[in-house]
Amino acid sequence: MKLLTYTSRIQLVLFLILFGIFSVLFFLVLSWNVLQNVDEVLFNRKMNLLAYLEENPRAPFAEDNPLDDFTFYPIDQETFQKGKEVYTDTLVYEPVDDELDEYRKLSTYVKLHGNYYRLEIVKPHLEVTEIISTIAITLGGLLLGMTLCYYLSQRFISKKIWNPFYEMLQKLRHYRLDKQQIPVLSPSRIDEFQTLRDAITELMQKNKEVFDSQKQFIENASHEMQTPLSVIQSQLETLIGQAGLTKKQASIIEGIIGSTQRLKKLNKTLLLLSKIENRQFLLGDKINIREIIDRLLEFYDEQKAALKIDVTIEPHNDPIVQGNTILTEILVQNLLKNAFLHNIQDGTIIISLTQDTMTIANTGPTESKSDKMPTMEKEKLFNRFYKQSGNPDTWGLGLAIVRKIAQVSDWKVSYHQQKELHVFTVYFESTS
Amino acid sequence: MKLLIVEDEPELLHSLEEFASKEDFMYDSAAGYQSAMERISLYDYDCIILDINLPDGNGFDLLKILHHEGKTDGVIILSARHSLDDKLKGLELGADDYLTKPFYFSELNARIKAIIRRKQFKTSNVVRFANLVIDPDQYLAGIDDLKKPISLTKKEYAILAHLVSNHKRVITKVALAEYIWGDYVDEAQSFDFLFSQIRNLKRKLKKAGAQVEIHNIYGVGYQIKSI
Repeated sequence: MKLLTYTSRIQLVLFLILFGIFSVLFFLVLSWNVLQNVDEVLFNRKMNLLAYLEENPRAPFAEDNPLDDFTFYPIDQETFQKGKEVYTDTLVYEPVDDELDEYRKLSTYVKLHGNYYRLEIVKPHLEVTEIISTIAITLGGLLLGMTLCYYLSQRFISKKIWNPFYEMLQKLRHYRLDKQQIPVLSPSRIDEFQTLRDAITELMQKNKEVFDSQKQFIENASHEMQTPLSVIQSQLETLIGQAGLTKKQASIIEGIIGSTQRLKKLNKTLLLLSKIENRQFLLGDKINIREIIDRLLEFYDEQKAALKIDVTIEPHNDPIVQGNTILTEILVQNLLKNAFLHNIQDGTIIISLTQDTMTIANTGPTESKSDKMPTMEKEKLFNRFYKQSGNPDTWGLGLAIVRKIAQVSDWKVSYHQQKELHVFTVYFESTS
Repeated sequence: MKLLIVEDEPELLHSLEEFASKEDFMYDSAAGYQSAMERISLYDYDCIILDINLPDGNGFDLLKILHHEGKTDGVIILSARHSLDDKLKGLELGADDYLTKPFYFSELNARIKAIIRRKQFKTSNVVRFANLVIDPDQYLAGIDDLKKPISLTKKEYAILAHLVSNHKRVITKVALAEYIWGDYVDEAQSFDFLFSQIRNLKRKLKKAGAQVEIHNIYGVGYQIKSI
């Protein structure tokens, strides 16, 4: 629920309750006020009437005249002395519209020309139902009007004033730390939004700086390692060229050479990963996947022969994809290397190409991977430094590179098992 | 054959100097941009081994000056930066080759020799070693001449050519395997393949009557020697 909707709902409910209470109060005050007025009118009428009758003793006041609004009832002195002046509500039948109308009645006791009378004066007053309906209509109208105004102003506000806020949200949602640009947030006249904007911009800026410096650090560290590695390697080469080494010394040197080589390759791979992450490769090349596979397969002739691996390419399709030639080669190379490395004696490798997919399936050792790999494991397969085999010469970086390359090229790569085959599929974005 | 070695890392400079003297190159060395500048302006070199990142300047600027002065020195860039941009920039500025650190001396040696061969305007690039004749342009090897080339596979030829051009030094197995297979094959496996390739090569050379022998040095590397 939007913040505005939420607040306005609460406000509307509060309005309704307030309107309810005010309607009742309004009704009571209004009724009381009307009665006060009517009673005042009745009292004035009595005073005027008595004053007039005092001056005009001949007036025939005692008769019940339907033309006037008062009636004198003769009473005795005792009743007169006990009697009090009271105002009461009464219903009077009105034959014209066939209903009982509300009247206010003043009952008072007077002494006129030496006789005692009970005087009753009646006046019609506003009916309760009428008051209520009047109140209901006016207040209801007011409520409706206010709701309408509120709704319209809210739409206006959310459009105009909250716009920068929603824009900020939208941009933040699409913000990725590894993107080159940090989004530019438009300024707002509202202080809070402006503060928020400044805070977010600063936060992103700082995050980006940290991220960049970390990336830079990895790249620089890898670069800086290249020179000492060169020194070690060249010294070792010189050392091995010396005559008169003992067998023991030679085997120690061999161990160091091997480790240096591994370090060198690891460093190179990390550099490659960080370079891919830095998007230092342009993706505008049109690449023929078939050609790459044919060329790279030559490097595996020995492995093919040694393990008697049967390699088939089917069907003979030539997908042309868009990407970076070097990266695509590295991707194919890593998948092929993987397929040959984890293969078995008399195994098979099946490479299938369609217009926008490449599938490399290979047989593999059955004891370690025979059971269906859980989905979690399948995902992990593409993680850095994840390895299943105990081979010390692999780091589990090959598939991480494959995934990274697929990512920057907008391709998808997946793994599944099909009977005894391990199947890697790359989904190229179709360029046709 | 005169080389100029421009490298600011003392250890590496020292190794490079040792390498050059072993290969019988005459050489000068410079540990920085300024001294390299001085030497370039005074002498002509057949090949300059140039480190790009120098403490007091940039190797690319040296290239520009060389180009500007119309010098024809061959240049091999050594760089810790494994970046395509740097490579393209270097080659554009007139460098002949680009090697990323860490590199193998056998690789550097092969490339220096290729540059020197190219510079000497020889009509034929044929390399002779003992009674072996190798033509790098046609990927052929023969005994005494190339009329009857020894039938070698592509990889056997590459191994032989690399061994011959580095006959004064031991090439480690690692370097040789990387030269042939690059990153394509798992290292442990590539040693096995290398072993069988060299066994085949030895057999073919012997059968053809080549007066050379490929020695296995301490089980760590190989060197070709004439008998």
